[in-house]
Amino acid sequence: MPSVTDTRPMGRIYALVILCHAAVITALWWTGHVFSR
Amino acid sequence: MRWLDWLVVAGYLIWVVADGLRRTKGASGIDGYLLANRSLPWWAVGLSVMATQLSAITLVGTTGQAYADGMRFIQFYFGLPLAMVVLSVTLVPFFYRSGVYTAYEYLERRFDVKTRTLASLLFLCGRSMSTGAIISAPAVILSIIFHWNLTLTILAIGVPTIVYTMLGGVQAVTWTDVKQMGIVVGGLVCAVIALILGLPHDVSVGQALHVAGAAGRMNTIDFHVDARQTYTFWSGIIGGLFLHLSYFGCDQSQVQRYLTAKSLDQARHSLLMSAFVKIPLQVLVLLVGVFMFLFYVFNQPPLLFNGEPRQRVVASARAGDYGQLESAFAGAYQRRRDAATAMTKGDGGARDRFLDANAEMQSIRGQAAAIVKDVTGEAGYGDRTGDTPKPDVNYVFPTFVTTRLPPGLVGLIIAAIFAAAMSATAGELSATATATVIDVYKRLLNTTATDAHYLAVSRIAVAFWGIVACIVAHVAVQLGSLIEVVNRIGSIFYGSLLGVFVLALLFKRANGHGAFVGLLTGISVVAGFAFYPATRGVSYLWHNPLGVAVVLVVGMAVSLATGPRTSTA
Repeated sequence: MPSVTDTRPMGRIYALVILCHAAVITALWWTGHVFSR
Repeated sequence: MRWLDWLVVAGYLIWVVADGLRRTKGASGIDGYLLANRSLPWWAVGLSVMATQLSAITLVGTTGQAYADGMRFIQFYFGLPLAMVVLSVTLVPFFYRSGVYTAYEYLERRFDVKTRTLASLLFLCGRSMSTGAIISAPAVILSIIFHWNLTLTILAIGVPTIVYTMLGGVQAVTWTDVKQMGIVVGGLVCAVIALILGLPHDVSVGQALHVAGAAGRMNTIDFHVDARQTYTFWSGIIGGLFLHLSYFGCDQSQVQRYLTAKSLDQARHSLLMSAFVKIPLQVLVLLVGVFMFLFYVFNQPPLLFNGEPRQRVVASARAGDYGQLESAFAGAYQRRRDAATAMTKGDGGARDRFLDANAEMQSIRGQAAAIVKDVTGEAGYGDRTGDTPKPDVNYVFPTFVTTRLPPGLVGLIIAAIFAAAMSATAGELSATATATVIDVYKRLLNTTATDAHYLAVSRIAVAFWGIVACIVAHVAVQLGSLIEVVNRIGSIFYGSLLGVFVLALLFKRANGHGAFVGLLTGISVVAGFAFYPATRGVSYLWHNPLGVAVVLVVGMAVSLATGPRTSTA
């Protein structure tokens, strides 16, 4: 049977996903900007 | 291929089938066969999620795309991490807690059997076609590059996949996916290392990337608002969000992956793994393409990477024209290489000379493509991806691998292409078999059979859809550009399917009639939008938000007009 009771708060992980995603996009933009000059 | 490469590829095929067959003992009942008894750890499910998405088309096509057009394709994935968070909060708990086998089962509980059946049949139609494309694309490329028999190449990909999926079920699919992802990532890392080592000794990686940047290969993010541009920041973050919500939330090939996790938290973590890893992995794939461009800045590339049309042109009356273009191309290449070398030495005026020579090479390639189009009649040579004729893009990576890499490494990369094709195919076969048995056979045709009977039918369904995929792969080759049409049709269903799930979750007054009519209307409107001359140029990434909007508006209007919800739950 599926175990559905062992859920923990995920808010911090979701926030971490969004922060990391923003950081990755910024890093990609910065890398493109630096090497395209 | 040398004997060592054959050994690596044969070793991979034997190993992957043997490993898949070892899992048959976990597939003794329908729950074990289709859901692995919900026992798998999040990291294995997460790798399987990524392996199912990463097909050989991605591996070969995306590296070629980066060679021709740079890193901008990465924007396609900008909506993915956001979609994973939204799904972890919304659909994943619903699916997991309701104990369903398929995503579409949930639609019957919320709406009615006709909505479930329609959604499941749409999935089966779309996926059976696209599985054929997943097999045919690498088979065509490998058969042309190595002069292999096309039918045998299709069977070399299809048969081992059918065997281990049929016998081992989703457990075999997941654990082979884990190993196949290892082979794919290992192959990509080796390719990047080989490409960096292939740069001139006096050129650093940083200097080389500045040369790539001058040619536009490092342009990663485009903030322009233009619905006809496929890859912009906005189409990626908005259109990509809807596309990935549809794919990971409504497509059984992905839903089945995370339903096998041992708990709800583990199911969520498996999706969030993609949120963290998918973009860096895709950057690695694109970097292979960028470094291939740099490799061919310092080593002469062929005028066209696919040698087959060249042979036909050389045998035609246009051979003289083509020969002149090859000579002119070699001259332009020398000028580009000299300018690139000067750029790395800090020569301020070299950048303009580099760009002029690069534009000249692009122009010559365009003329060569026009000759190929005249001689062969292949209309695709009239289109371009970046500075490369569109059909040639898929041949850049295989040509580089087979002509420039050492023995053994060639075998590893070919094994990685096989692994990507097989992992994506296995996931699709397992999912189409599950939808066939659970949504059609068990629900509509034979509701009271034993577990052993459904298990046997599931195995037959895997074999059936595997044979269909191989036949479609063979037919798709003869039909050429129809593969694109099939993919385009797939993008027409996705947004509308997502719309039905949004309707189910967020609108309590929505009923089965509204969902059914909304789904049909959404597909019709998006199909009209995709093929109507005035709007067909709009990027397919925008089809998904449109489908969702139409289903919500029409679904709610019909629901309000027809009265209370018709839930069977």
